Amino acid sequence: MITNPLDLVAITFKDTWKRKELGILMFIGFSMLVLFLSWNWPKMYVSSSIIEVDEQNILTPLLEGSAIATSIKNHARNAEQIVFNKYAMKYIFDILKDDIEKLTDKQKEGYWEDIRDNTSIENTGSNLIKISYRSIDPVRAQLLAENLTNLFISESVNEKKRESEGAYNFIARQAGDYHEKLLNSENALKEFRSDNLGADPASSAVVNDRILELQRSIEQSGLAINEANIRMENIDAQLSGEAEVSAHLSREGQIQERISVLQTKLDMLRMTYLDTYPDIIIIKDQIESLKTTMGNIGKDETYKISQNQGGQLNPLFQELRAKRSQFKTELAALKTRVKVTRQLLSDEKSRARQINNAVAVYAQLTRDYDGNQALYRKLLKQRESARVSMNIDIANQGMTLQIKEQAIVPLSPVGLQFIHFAVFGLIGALLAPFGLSFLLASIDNRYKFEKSLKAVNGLPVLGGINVYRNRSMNIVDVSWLISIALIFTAVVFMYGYVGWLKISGQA
Amino acid sequence: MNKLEQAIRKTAGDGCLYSHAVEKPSFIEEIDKMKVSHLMTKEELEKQKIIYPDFKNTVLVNSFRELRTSLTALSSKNVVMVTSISERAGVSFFARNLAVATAFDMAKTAMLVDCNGRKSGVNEVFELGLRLGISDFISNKDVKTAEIIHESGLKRLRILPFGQSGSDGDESFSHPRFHSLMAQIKYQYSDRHIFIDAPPILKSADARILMEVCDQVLLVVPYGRDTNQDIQAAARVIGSQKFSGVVFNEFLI
Repeated sequence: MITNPLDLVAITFKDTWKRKELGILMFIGFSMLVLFLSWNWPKMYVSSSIIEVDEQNILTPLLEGSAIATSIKNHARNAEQIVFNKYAMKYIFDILKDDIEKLTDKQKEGYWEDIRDNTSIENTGSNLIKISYRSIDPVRAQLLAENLTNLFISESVNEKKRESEGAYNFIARQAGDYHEKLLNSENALKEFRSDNLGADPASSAVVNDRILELQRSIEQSGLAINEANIRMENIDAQLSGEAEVSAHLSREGQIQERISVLQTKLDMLRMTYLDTYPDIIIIKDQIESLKTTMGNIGKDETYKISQNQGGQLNPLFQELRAKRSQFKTELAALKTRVKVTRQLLSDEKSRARQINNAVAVYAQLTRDYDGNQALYRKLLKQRESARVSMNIDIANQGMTLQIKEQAIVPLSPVGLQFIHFAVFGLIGALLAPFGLSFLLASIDNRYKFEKSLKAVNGLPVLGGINVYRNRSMNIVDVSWLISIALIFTAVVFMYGYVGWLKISGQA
Repeated sequence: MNKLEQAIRKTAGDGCLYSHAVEKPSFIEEIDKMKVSHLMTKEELEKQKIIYPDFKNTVLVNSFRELRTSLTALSSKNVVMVTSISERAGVSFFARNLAVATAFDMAKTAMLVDCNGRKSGVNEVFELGLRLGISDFISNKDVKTAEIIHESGLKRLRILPFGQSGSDGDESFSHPRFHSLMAQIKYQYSDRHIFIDAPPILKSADARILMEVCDQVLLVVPYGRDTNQDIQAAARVIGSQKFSGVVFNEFLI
């Protein structure tokens, strides 16, 4: 193995010379192959247009915050998707009607794939989109580049319209939903109000006052009952100490007297109260009972005797009895009043409970209504913003996609030109034999140097012998050199001729 | 001296061709008397790739001179076998020019023994035609030593060709007559150096047999042909005793 690079170079040259026949064949083969390739290499034409995307138009700052301009950058990123959708295929096929007439569906698919492969869409700047089409036919390249550009612009506009319309529709739908909800809660509130008249916090206070008043009245009546009881006891005590009859008094007369007193009192009360008033009822009862007693007197023996005896009833006793009777009446009246008042109190309490429940439900309904109303207002505002955005897009004002550079019919082909082939072919053909020798030399481990023989073997090396060159060898070598030069010149001339044909347009 | 004189007379035939060698020592005088009926011209030498003292490629001539000097230092080891690892290594070219370089020295004579079989080119090189050689000597007892040693067309150089009899596979070199022939030419003249042009050592049994009759072995390694393993294998076959060294032949085929 040769490791020294200089030695390797020397060996490369030496071996190439040694294998000059193969080298010449390689040179001719390679150069002719490249020449053949360059002759048959298809000329590719690229036509491209540049679209400028301007997002900052005059409307954007004016509508800041209320309308949102849909971004075009997103479209640039998805340009390929926009250009190569189903609609685009139809559009392009309409343009290329003649070409695809006889194709089957499968072939059409392949044809469309070819169009996709030959199209390139790229962002050349922050806001520039370049759409190129490459073809062997310059006119076709221009046609497709132009149409794809138009397609891209119209599709972008449509896409944007669709997007803002979709947003508007969504918001409008939402607003509708909330409108309905708001109406429902309004109705519910109305119904509740009419069902629960007076069930408001104000009437609740009135009821509470009333309850307090009733309770106070019960307490006062209780005190009065106690007072009356005490008085009754006192009179009972006094009565037990007095003689019942102090004088001969007609029992009938007494009852008569009492009835007249009670009648007077009844008349007095009737002037003020209705007949249902408890005192009146009680007095009526008493009068009734006295009248009954009077009716019984004639039949009662003892009464007769006492009457006959002409005994006189004690006046103090009489008076006390009258008082006692009066107190008794008062006491019964008070008790009845307490009973009625309690009934009223319990009624008021249940009413208070009803009012409280109604207030809670009312609060709930009001809250619902308020919430729905707030949301609905917000949605209405958003809907108006969306409507403006949509109108901007419909009026084609929300964005500007303008063709900065029109696609033109390319005059010169792109890609590999003949000069590239010529340089590659000639230099490659020259280098190929050397390259082969270099490769072989770098993997060859046979001795090619006297010094490496010395270095590796450890055997005595007596020396090296040069090549013996005689005249005939020199003649042979010179003739080889002349042949090589002639072959090289011939190949160069062939390249020159082909190049001339290409440039002069004959090929 | 008498013996040497006799021998020279025997090989060179009768009569002295040169008259100017008056002051020279007697053995050189005798050597000069070796018969050279035809001298090769420079053109002929160049055509046959044979060096001569004023050859324009002095580097080549000097390389052969140096090699010759180291190989002919000991007159007791005067039989040098030139061999290689594989064929077409330039062994014949080497052996031929080593013999020629040895013959440059007016005090020495050289003999080139061609052991490459009948296909060898030595006959054409020295324009020997169909002359008798080793194989004839071995197969025919009537053939004398003097009949198989030929003029070379150069001074002080004799050629012992392979000859026309027998075939390549005969293993003639193990024949007793070959051994006696080698002994005769080795010991007959003290200043004669014998160069055996042998077949490749790793490919041919003949080369190994020939090793018995030689004193030194020279291994020719041609450009870009042999690997380290090949050389080591050849060195093992030759053995260190007779192995005098490796020469690198930069010739291109």
